[in-house]
Amino acid sequence: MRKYSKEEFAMNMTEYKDIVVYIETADKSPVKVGLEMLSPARKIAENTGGKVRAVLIGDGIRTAAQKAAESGADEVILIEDPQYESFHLDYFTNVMESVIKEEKPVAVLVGGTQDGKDLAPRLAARLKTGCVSDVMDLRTEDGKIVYTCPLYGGTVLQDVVMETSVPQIAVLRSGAFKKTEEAQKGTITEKKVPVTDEKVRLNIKDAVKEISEAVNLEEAEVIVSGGRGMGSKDNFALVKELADLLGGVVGATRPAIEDGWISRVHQVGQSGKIVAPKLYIACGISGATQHVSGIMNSDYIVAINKDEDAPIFEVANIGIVGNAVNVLPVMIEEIRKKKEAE
Amino acid sequence: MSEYEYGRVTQEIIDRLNEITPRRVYTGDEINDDFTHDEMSIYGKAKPEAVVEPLTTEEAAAVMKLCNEHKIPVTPSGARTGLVGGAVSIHGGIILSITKMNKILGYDKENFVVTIQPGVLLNDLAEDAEKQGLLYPPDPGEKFATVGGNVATNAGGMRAVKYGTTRDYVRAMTVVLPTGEIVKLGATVSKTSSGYSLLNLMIGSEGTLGVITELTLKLIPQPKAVISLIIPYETLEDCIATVPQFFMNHLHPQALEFMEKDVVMDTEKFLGKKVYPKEMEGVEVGAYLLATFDGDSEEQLEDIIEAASEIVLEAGAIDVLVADTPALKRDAWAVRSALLEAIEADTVLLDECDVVVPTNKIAEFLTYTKSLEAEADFRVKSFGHAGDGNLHIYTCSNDMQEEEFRKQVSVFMKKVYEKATEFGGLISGEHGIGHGKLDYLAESVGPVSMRIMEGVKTVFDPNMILNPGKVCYKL
Amino acid sequence: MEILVCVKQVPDDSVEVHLTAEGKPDLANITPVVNAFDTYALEMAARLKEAGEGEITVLCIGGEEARNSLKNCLAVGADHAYLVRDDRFDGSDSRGISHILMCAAKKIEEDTGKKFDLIFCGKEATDAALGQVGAELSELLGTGVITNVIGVEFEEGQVCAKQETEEGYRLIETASPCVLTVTKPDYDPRYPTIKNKMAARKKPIGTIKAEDLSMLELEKTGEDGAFVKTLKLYEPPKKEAGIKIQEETAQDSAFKAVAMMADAKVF
Repeated sequence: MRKYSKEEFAMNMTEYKDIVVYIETADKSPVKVGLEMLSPARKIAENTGGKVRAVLIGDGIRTAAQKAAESGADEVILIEDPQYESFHLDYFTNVMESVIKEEKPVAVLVGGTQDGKDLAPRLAARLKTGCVSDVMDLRTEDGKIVYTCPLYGGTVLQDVVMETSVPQIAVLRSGAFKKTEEAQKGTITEKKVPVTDEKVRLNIKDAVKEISEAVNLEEAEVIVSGGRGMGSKDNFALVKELADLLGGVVGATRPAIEDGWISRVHQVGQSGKIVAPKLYIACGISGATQHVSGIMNSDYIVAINKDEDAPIFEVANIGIVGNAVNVLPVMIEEIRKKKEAE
Repeated sequence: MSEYEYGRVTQEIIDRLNEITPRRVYTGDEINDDFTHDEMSIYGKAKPEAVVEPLTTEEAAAVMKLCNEHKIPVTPSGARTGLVGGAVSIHGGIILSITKMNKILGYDKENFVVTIQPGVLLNDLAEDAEKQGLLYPPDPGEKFATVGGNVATNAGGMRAVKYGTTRDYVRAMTVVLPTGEIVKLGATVSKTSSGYSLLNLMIGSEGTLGVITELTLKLIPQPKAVISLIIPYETLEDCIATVPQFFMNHLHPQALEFMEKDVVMDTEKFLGKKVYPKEMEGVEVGAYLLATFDGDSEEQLEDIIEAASEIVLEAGAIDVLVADTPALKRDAWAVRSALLEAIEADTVLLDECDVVVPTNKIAEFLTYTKSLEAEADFRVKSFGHAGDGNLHIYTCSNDMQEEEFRKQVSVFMKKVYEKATEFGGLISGEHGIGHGKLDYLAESVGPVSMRIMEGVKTVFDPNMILNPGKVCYKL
Repeated sequence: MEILVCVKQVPDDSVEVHLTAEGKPDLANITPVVNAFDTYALEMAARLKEAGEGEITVLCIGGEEARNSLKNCLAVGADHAYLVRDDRFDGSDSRGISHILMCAAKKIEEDTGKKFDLIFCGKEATDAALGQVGAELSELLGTGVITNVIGVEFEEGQVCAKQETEEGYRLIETASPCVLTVTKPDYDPRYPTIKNKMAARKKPIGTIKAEDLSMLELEKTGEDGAFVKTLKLYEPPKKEAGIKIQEETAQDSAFKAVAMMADAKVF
């Protein structure tokens, strides 16, 4: 597509008003951020007077499409083909290109998963349009969509716009938006996008699941995380013990992972997972911006750290000043008692 | 039997303390176990009768005055990272903790000084000064010690080889004397010839002469460029032999540390990081020098490191690795900074000594200490400041009985200190005497010096209430 | 095998960046460094080169001060370095940067008569963390892109890379030339030896200006050419701190905290 002047673009807002939301699936279900994006999409659509169209690409994902239709999409475009069973950057770029050229949306929202972060810029280059990453918030203002994105690991935020290109492509951060609670039921349109080998250059020889444990930080309601303050791999076991007790997931900071205490799938923070659980317990974590910016959307934060000036306390609902290695065993015991009493 | 008799911390005293430092008086079970020991618990634990946390000089003075009236021992205490039992209240009484006096009070950028409360952590001062484009040169390994504690022990650290020790950066201080009187010592000026330097007497007195409640410290402009070199050698002897060459060639590293490969490998395992080369060009590495140079510009500094590299390569270094980016420097120094922590994490019974010997004697001295390992059941690990001959030697055991360990260590230490003295060295470079090294000090400096030190102590503290039983005065 | 590594100079990411009173990023006391992911990319390229043969060229868009970063690259495996330097490029967004890189890569190929087999980028820069340039550049070059690479093999026009994924890895093949974006492998970038450091001091760094780029469409670059425009920068509001518990013992603190958590019904 081509570049427009601001005036032309304003005019085009009348031509381009729908929102396309690419909803990725994992194990044939929509990923959390996929459904979360429907609420900001709805917000934009209200402003442009357009429709929210969710796009699902895969094979055997009708149930996932159903779920999307119930979660705030006006229309779900379901594209199924055995070739699309698992993510392939080139094929998925081709499919999205074809859908976007037909639907002419004003904005395309993509969830900030690893594959989503690859798909969006590839698509932007293909369509010769603008792309923003890691959107933490968005709003409409004077007919413009204003995106809020972090800089320097989140110590600085920037508000950006893409006024001179359509569609605008935005990668939305997981956990930054809340799912729509009461949604109208949308329709499902099946669509065939033929498999073409044009511009397909990658051959995925193998996809290996190395990490057998299922770690779903993004969807966890409780996360107990440990940082370097846990002191050692042995002590880190306390973090896991508390997480298990609370039915939660174990998280970790980058230093804890680099020290080999736990595998990297557990990483929480800017360069790991952005999380939004109901309860987040930070053990021996000082609270570098890198980490804190990844947990800010948690409902309730408990922090344990021996340094009373640790920045983590600035964001915690409850801050316990003390060595996590001493505090955790008591907490575990107390919580166990309280749970048993229930 | 002691000629001094001490009063007890009665309920009445507690009530009085509570008036002076409301809600900052702790007794009984309220006292955290951390207050019973420092980082070298081998010198014994002792629980104070109370802990108080003053916020101001006046509060500290009032506490002191009260305790002097009732002859209650007072042990000043910082972040308790000491290594010689200096802040352990071995004669009971109260611990006066200065950790809540932790404000940076202000910079005087025209005179290059900063005024702080003594409880400011070294790490916080270093970071804050850096933000102002300034450098506080003393750089002891323990970054989470209080600066007040650094002054009390005259801590040295990595940069001492070029910039000197803490002593060289203290311009003025406010001190509460054991009597409760408040005195200001020193001034912001750079020169003085105004009577005995009580300021310098106070520095390194380990909280036996007064409680420091405010400090004015000298700063220098942040060097424009800083580069570290990792220099691997085949043997420790080769490594140490290079050291005098730097100075003879007018190259003044900001820091010059030596490390043996075993200790480095243990630490890398502890940190989960591999930084130092273990083998280069088919040669197995035995020891490393870690040197840091600073300069006024990148170009000037590159000339310096080139010259330094020529010298070390000539002297037998296997190669020279250049840490010229913040990330490379951080990794290189992270290992050095974690050496003690890694040893502590891996050791059940630990003792250490902190001798300082002339730099040309380092290799011979270390060979000697290593040779003592053969007659003991513990392991000897060492590292230290190659540039100023300050060596940290650790005796470590995981399977010995404590009593046997103590016995063997005491034989070992006696020999080590004798050898250090024979080489013209001293028994502590930067950790101090506390009560752990008191006997060794007496042997090393002799009766005359001890008598003068005791005399000084009595003048300051007639009732012998301030940190009794430390440095020079055994009760 | 000819390798191009695209690098960006960023402020040292271990230091927190805040805004000045004028609302600009305060970078005055922060050392500029090569983006960490780009240093991983260069290390990976250097290992690949050492296992086979060929040369590494590094390419950077930036100001005069970026020369020092390029010198550092020359000391740890790069053979040639180019700085693309033109004030008009300031404020370019990802598509502008990708476009300039594409033009510069083509120019270097023309000048040297060589063709790049592999083009490495870091997976993202530590300052803006967009992660767009690698993917966009590959699209402009008409090549495949393998992202989040932690290992790579190259043989006769065929590239096989190990892509780190959330639950493991994918092995992906593509024909060269191709773009690879690199994440943290299980090794660290090397330290330069003094010999390499000193040799790097003497190596020339080529300068490329806008006029030198025959394929350049200047209107795609700079602030005016950017699709993405910044309205304002600001610091995030501080979350209000909650209650701090500091009882005398760890046990008491834990009791109190658990009681409060129970009251708040968070477990």
